[in-house]
Amino acid sequence: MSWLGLLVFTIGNLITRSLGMFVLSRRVGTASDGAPWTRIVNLVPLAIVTAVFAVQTFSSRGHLELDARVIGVGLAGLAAWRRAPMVVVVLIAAGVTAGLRAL
Amino acid sequence: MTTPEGELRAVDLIALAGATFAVGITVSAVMIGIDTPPGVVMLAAVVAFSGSGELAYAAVILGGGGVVPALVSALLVSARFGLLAMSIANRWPMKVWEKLAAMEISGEPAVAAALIAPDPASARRSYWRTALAMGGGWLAGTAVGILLGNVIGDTSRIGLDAVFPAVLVGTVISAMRSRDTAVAAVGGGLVALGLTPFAPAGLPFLLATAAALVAAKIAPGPLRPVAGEGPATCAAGQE
Repeated sequence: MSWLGLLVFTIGNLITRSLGMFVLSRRVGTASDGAPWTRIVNLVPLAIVTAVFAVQTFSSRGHLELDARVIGVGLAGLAAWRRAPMVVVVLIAAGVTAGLRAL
Repeated sequence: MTTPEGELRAVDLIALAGATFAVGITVSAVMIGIDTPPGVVMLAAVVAFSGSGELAYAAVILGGGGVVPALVSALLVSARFGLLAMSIANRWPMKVWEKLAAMEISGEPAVAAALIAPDPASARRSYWRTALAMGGGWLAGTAVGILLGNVIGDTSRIGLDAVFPAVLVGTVISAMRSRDTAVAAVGGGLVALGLTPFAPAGLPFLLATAAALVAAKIAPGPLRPVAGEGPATCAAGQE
């Protein structure tokens, strides 16, 4: 990335973030108002979190891929489900993935 | 992972900082690997605050693509931060400077922490604690990665590519507390995976929000048997 690329990346990023924070949010009420649009917006982050999780776990550069990472992250997810602390979750993911790749 | 009120403990915040530290090291190594000047790598980390956007840029360049499609990809992958900023904009009362700062470092775990908080004051506290821990780790990792980049080599060899997905799966499990959130989460993941082979990188993240439209039509009934007691009680009951 060049300095010019950085400038474009930074300005583009600021525009999309500002659109969300200052423009799109005008249609959204407070968390507890129970309006249909507010309910949808409150669910948006959950959909995005799993979307990013799924893409970063099950794909590489635009194609679906199952490798050691799937097992590492899968076991980490199981640990999270069993209420393991975040540090354990993260260490399982990295440790298992690295271990399987070293085999 | 969280207390029943959804607050992350100090040890969890340190773990999150460690995770983004690892992401910072990875992103630095990749960006230096495509001949990015160290100053650009550091400044990009500070002002753009999007490791996934930088990795998307590098993926296009490494695949033989040009600078323009690489930047488009980086911006598309980072566009979801706008939607995340939208969903916290009215969660607690904010002045303009706080809105600017909050949108700048809006990451998935911090936004999720704010949304599951019981009231505006704790939403604000959870958001900033999580965001600052992750942001601090990210910047420190980037700096260390710039210094060490070539020493570590391929960071996926030590499993660092599994670190951020693990943070996200932990976040999802903490935040899925009702049927509608479960539908939004599972639906979003399936939509994104289904689109990934066909759609340009980043677009699946945006289209995954369609799952929220469907989920909002579902009653927010409890996901686990004992409502209000907190998931920890249920998990203990299963053991």
